[in-house]
Amino acid sequence: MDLLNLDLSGPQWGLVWPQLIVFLLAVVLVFADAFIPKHRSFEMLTGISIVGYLLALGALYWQHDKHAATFQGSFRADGLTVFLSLIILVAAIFSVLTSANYLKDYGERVPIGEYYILLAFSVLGALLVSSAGDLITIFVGIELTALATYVLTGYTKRNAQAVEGALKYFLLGIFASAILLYGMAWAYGLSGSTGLDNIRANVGAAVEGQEWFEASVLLALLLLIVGLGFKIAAVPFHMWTPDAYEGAPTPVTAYMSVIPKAAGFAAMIRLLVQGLGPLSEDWRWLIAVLAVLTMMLGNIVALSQRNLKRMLAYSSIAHTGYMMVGLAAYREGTGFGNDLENIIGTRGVSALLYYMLAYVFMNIGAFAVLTWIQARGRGVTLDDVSGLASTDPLPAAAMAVFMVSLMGIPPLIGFYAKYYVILAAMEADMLWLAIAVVLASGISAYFYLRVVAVMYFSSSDVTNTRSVRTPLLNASIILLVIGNLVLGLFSAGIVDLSEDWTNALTVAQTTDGADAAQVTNP
Amino acid sequence: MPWETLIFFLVGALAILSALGMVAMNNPVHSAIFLVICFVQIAGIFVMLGAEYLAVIQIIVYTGAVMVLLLFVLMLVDMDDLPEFHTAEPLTRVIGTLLGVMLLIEVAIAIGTRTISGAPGTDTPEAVALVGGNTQAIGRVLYTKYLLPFEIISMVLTVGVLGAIVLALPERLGLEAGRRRDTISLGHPRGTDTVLPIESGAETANLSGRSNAQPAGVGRTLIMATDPDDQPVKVGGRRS
Amino acid sequence: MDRYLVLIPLLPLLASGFNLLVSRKYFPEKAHIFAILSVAGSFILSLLVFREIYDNEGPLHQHLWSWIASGRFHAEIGLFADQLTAVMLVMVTFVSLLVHIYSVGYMHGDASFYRFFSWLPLFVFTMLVLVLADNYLLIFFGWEGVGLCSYLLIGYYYKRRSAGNAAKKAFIVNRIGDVGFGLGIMLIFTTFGTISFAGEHGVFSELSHGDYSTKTLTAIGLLLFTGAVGKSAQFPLHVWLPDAMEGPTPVSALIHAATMVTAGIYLVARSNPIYMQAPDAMMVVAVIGAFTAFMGATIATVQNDIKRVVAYSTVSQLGYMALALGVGAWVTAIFHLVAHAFFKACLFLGSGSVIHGMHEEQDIQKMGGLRKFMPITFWTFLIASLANAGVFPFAGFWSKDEIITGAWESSIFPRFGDLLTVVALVTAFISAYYMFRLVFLTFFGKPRFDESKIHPHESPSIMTLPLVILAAVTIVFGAVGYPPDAGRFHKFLEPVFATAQHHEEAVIAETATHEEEAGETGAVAEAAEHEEGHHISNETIITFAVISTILALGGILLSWLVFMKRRIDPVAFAVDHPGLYNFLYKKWYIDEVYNAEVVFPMRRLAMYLWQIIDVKVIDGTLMGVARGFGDLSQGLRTLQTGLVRNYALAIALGMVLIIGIYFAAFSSLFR
Repeated sequence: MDLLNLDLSGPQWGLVWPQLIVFLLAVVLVFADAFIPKHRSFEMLTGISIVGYLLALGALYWQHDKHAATFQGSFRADGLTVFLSLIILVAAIFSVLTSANYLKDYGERVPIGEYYILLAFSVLGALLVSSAGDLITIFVGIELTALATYVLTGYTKRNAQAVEGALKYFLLGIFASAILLYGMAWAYGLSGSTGLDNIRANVGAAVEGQEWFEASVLLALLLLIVGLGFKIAAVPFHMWTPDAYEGAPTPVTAYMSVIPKAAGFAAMIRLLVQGLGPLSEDWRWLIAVLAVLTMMLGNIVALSQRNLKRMLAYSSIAHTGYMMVGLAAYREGTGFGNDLENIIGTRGVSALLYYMLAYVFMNIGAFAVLTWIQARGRGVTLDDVSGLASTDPLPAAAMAVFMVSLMGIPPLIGFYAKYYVILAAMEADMLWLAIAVVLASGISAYFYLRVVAVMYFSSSDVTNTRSVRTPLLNASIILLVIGNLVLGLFSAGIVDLSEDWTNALTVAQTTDGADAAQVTNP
Repeated sequence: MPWETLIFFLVGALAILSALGMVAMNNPVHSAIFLVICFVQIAGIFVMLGAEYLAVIQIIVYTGAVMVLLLFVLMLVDMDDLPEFHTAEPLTRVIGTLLGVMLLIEVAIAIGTRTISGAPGTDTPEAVALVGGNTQAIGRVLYTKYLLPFEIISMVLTVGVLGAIVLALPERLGLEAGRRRDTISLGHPRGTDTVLPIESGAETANLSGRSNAQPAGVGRTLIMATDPDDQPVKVGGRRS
Repeated sequence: MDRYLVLIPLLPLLASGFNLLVSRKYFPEKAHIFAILSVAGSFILSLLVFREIYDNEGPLHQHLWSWIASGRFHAEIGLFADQLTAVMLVMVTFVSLLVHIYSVGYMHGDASFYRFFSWLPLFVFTMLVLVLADNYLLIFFGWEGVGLCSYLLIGYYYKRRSAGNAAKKAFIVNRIGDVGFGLGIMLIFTTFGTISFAGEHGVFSELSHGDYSTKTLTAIGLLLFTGAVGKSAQFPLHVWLPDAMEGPTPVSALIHAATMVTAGIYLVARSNPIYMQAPDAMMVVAVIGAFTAFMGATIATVQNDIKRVVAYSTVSQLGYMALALGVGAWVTAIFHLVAHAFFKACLFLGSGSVIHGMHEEQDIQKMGGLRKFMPITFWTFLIASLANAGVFPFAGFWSKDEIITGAWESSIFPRFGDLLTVVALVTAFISAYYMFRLVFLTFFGKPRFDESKIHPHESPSIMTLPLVILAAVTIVFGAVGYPPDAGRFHKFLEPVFATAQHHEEAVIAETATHEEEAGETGAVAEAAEHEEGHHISNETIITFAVISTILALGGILLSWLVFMKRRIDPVAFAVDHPGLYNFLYKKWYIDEVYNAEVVFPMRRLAMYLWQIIDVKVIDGTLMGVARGFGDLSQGLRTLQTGLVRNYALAIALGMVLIIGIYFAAFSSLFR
């Protein structure tokens, strides 16, 4: 296609239903917020949000066997899109359930409608990143997610910590976005295209047969990794995480620990595996080293945290490290191009995807219990949960499940997630990486179990709790506990589904407009 | 083409100098004006590259609208409330400069040793001229090939507006918003200058947001309730 | 039908979960309704499965989902039902149903009624999973599950210290066996590359195609049997079973007599193709089984607790089953298993009824003459006792007889066969003796309790109804095993052990040749008999039937002489032979030996490990490491200054460093 022969065929709307539904959800929410009377708005908006995400989740079913691209290659409906969208939408539903009661409790002081609207746009951004086939789509998608998340972080704006966290997140986020964009500019310069498939083909052809790549290729690659490393909170680009996580309202923390991170990993898989796969021998070592640094630092610093939100922030950094192991286990053979035969480590990306799904259930769960505790007027330090088991046995049990799952103990989902990641590392001949995962998990046992021990074996000295009803939050915690217990048992099926991501590498670059009318310039 | 080269270097140098000036100024108004100068130079470079449309947009949107609006806001705000950009410690400055220079060298190496270049593609000057010029060409690409990102950007803008409203709006009309004294501070662990008591327990609304508010300034001790890692500490912006 | 296979275990699980979550709060007194309905549902479905298999002879297979699929290791969740499973299913659900009904009466008024009716269906669920599993890992899951439920139910009266201890003992002793089972599964996987036994690529079809070393198969067989030794209370891991009687009596009837303890027997029977190629392993099974049978019977003769007598009788009968397995009489073992499940459940429920009627009195020395107070209990108990004693024509008679002939005819180890037969016959005599000692002391004679204080009464009909049903089944069940070795039961189960029989005949032929070479006339004649066909000659069967009937009646007679006629004074006998009496009364001193030889040294070792190794060496190291990490953590967190510019600096530093290192080391710049 050139400037004269425009491809004016419309996109195949049939491919984009889930994303379109979330977009419509955001629009509907904007109008609903304006027209629904204030006293009804909470129930209505919450209901609309949940129904919207559920519809989108259902629409994924129709998307899942499409394997095609539209919007002239900017949008791809392939296995990777479907699995990432699944993760993001599940996380979105749990985010709504977790935050609903919190918002209501906050009552008059924060606008409820805008919260859901921002959430919807943020989810949409993440969905678009995971389905992107183009550098520009990836970038604007990430920005859409991030911008909404910045605002959500500072949502309780009278709280100094929230403002602080939002500000730090915002400033550093812009810094990282600039780096990412610069890397994209280099990638464009090297390949002459913004399309991921073209980048793969052109860069692959340019470096074919070379043992050592020239500096400009590496610069593009490294700038992209640095920019995305910030989004997923990899060491040493993780510094914003504890402050932002601690400052943000707890349900928002639950949300931002999952969805922007999922968007970051989605972009990473799209850019590194799909776009720059031919360079995998170069980037996977960097990812592996960063993964080890990330999980070690995250777990070690988490040891000395007494604030649970902060502890979970470091723990989420550590989990980023485990997920990166999956990415590091990806390796492409010597041949370039779209030949699946040459790819050894497809299992690595599958393990990463499965880990992300598991992480949704473990991490949102932990934050949901914290929200539950806060709703009853307690704080979020270790002292506040001491003796929780004697006063509130069920939330304590749920928290114990999440902690043990995060630690990676069978039969909970966290164990399976780590198991597949370790297996992938070993298949990629990176035994040291697998050992690092095990060591890091060993360190993490201390602070996860400390929470359980404090809840069960200390006496409670918190007296000024209040009793409130939080039905939606309770439902979300129960569902998350069930997810933690059950999903591990079905892991083989889920991993099978995640193996589908490989068709991202084989889907034709663009399928629409093949026989559409060609409009010529007059 | 010596003239063109000369003008490019002139414009480029001005752009870099004004960018440096923007960062170095203490007064936000001065910074803003330097930024305007920088934008104008970039517009000039666009013109030299034959991208007149982008140059005009650069002037109208950034220089004309965004920066002037920013200056308006700065002028309208009470002088006491103006944020003051704190200067960093010498060590940080040295390290920062050093890192900047190293990055520059690295990028220079990459540029210098570069051999791979992307295919020029179909959007050659001739093709652009054929469709009637720069503006038409951008329009053609924007509404076909980059339709999806283009639409997403509209959502980004929506979110931006929404965020601004959410963060700037008084909580409810019934409550007096009060004059916010928090100022942005890069030199401060909390990112804002105002010392707000941090409630233990839930993040129940902190409505007493104006306690101890003082304009940011030099020689004032900031007392923090806790440091970011929860150790009670009394500092002047630094850990002890 | 295979699509509904999953419902069989699922129903009790749902009932259990429902009782635990919902009934607990809203209608704790009505918890039994859901439990009974679910188990009844499972029973009906089991009958349907049985009928389908009976008609079609083909096994049912339902693949549910893949659990773990990584590399070579595939753990599938699948259910499999062949003839053996069908028999087990019907037996388990039938006895479970009756025990559930019985428990409504027995547990009436218990403070945590709902808890009982949550754990009991949970047990049924795990037991059904164990029976229905199509691979060893899922069997292991059910195996551990029944162990857990057994632990929970033994310790049901957890406020009683002895119940807690018994529960722990059962759990720990079982764990020892489980280790063996676990290792066995791993060895199976490394040997065959799969852990599924059913299907085309299962262990058994691999076994029939490939050539595997006898040593490996023997090791697998022994490891699996280690698990069975723990679960099915074989010597030397039988010690937990009598103590397990601390649980409520219906639990003893269901778990510790009819179902769970037979899991080990089931496992060995299920793995019969492996054992058939590992004669050494089979010999171990037979010898341990015979020894357990003898030991359990002797101990049972002097115990005074009604439940303990029945418990040791169970140990002894389980020994019989193991003996049957060991001599290759697979069908007979299962036949005895099922028959035993019926009459032993009846015995336990009957003792529960006695205990209930006697206001929690368990000492048979303080009973007597209960016949007239509780007639239904008496008659059912008597029938079950006759079956246990092996008197014609009850179920126990047929199965025990077959085991004895099986041992005699056993071709795998001809010289041991005779010895095993003698042991089995002696045990049969003792069985009859102790069973009727129990009956006479409990139901006959004069009451030895204070009649002014205790007023024995018959149990309510909800408890006696299951007793009557079980007694009726005990009487009738013998018919399916007639004629011996060729009854309907045998015909039905034949396909499961078809490969085994086939193999056995090959072994027989081989043995025959060997025997001929050795030139031992007696053995030759017998081996020649085998060669004509597998079926045992009628003469042998009748001979042994007569011998064992005489022995059983002799045991009853002796018992009658001692405890009714007082021709021999048992007390005087005990005083005259204190060594023998104490040896038996103290259960062969096995617990004492364990205490002295295992528990005490272990405790000393543990103390040593704790005080020296653990505290000084490991804790020292660990604490050092932990402190190191703690310090490191404190050090690293100071990096988190809280200043945005430092964070930005970290990003920039990271970026510049990474780019620098890559340029220097991995680019084409310096090459």
